[in-house]
Amino acid sequence: MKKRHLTRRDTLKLGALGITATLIQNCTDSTTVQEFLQRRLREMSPEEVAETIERLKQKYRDLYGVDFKIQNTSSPEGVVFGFALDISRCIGCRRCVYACVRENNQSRDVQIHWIRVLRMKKGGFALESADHYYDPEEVPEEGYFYLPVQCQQCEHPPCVKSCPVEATWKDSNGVVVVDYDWCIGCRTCMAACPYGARHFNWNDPVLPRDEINTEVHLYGNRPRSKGVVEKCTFCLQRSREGRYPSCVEACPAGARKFGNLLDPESEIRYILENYTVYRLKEDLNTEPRFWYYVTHGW
Amino acid sequence: MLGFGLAWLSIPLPATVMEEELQVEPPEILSSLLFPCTQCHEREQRPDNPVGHAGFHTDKSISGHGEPTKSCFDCHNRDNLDTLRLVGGEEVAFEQLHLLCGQCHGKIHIAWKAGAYGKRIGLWNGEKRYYSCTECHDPHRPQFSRVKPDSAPVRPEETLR
Repeated sequence: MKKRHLTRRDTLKLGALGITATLIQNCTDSTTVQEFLQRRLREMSPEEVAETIERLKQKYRDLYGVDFKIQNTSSPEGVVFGFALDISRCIGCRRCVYACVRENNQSRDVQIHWIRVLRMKKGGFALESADHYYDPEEVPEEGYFYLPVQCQQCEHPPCVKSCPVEATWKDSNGVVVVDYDWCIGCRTCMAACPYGARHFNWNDPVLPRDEINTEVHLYGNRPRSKGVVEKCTFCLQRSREGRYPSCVEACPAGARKFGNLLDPESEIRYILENYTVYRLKEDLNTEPRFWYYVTHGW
Repeated sequence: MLGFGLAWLSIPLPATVMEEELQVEPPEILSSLLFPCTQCHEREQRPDNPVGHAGFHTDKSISGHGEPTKSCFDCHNRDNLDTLRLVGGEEVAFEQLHLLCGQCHGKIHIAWKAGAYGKRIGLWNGEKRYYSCTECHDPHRPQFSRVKPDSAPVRPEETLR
């Protein structure tokens, strides 16, 4: 009998079979398909959102071995959030940085910090020579002041303008949010942000199991995945429910102030009306909703 | 703002001042074994302002605060040591000690009541708790002591592997 050789046609057939098999194997996990076919969170019907939440719960259970409570609280009406920080009170202790890390499930390795505390020499405002890696025995240090920087929730956010897939936008409270499932990880927004407020997940986030915050929001502190960009949301999982962001409550010096800019009785409005306030890189016309002020004197 | 401050100062204070309902925690001393002070300080055994009297309260030096006046009874009520007193002699409960501090620190007092100074936790649109003066400051040594900062971020070059 004539021995049959492997023809070109056979090779192609086998190859196609192999690829299909691999695909089927990978996709037997139906969440992957769902995730792949998922639309923008903003465009979803309530049923689709509920499905997504269920899928995410399952995913997080598999990944982290804990049950998450995923909220989709909507933005409160008639509220625009504003933040003020008293730089004369900040002592540079970084309590806010780590309270934020824990509250918002930021990766511990590769490390992501949404808040960066800049240290600058007193007597000037030399941002270009500011250091956020300072590590003395004790703070505050003689001759320095500290300037915590996080997302400034701009009125004209360059990051939103730069996103090629509209995966990030400003919500009705003025908070810039990210659809972590829509982000393609191109990092254009990071290049566009003048405040260094956006951070990229170089790997799947590493979260110690006993420190995971399981009270999460769909747009807020739910664990992200490798290859997406994340940022401060003024703790929308807390603030949309009326609570102060976690950094505000963590500050031992009471330097952080938060509230509704549309409420004339709020502390944030009091500060804006009674103190000299300063916005970072105001010349860029990003119109931050984050003010720095000073309560000098006694 | 100034008008507000002056108006507040000119209000004649009642014997025991309980100002507006502020959500302030009572100071730690009230829940400690040291309180009430009259356990030891009987009315007829009033100390004559010796700092470190009979070996007690030696840690309560008031250096760096309110010099040159250094009398315990600038703030503590000699007639009833379970309360404090204002400059004009009005009695103030420990719970309302911000009134006492506010006598000198007027600007800060106004800022604190308005929410521009000091720590608050709770709801931005509702019930919140104001941290009172002595929750953050030692009343006898109010300047903050230095603290160890939390660890510095890892530099990117140390992350690469």
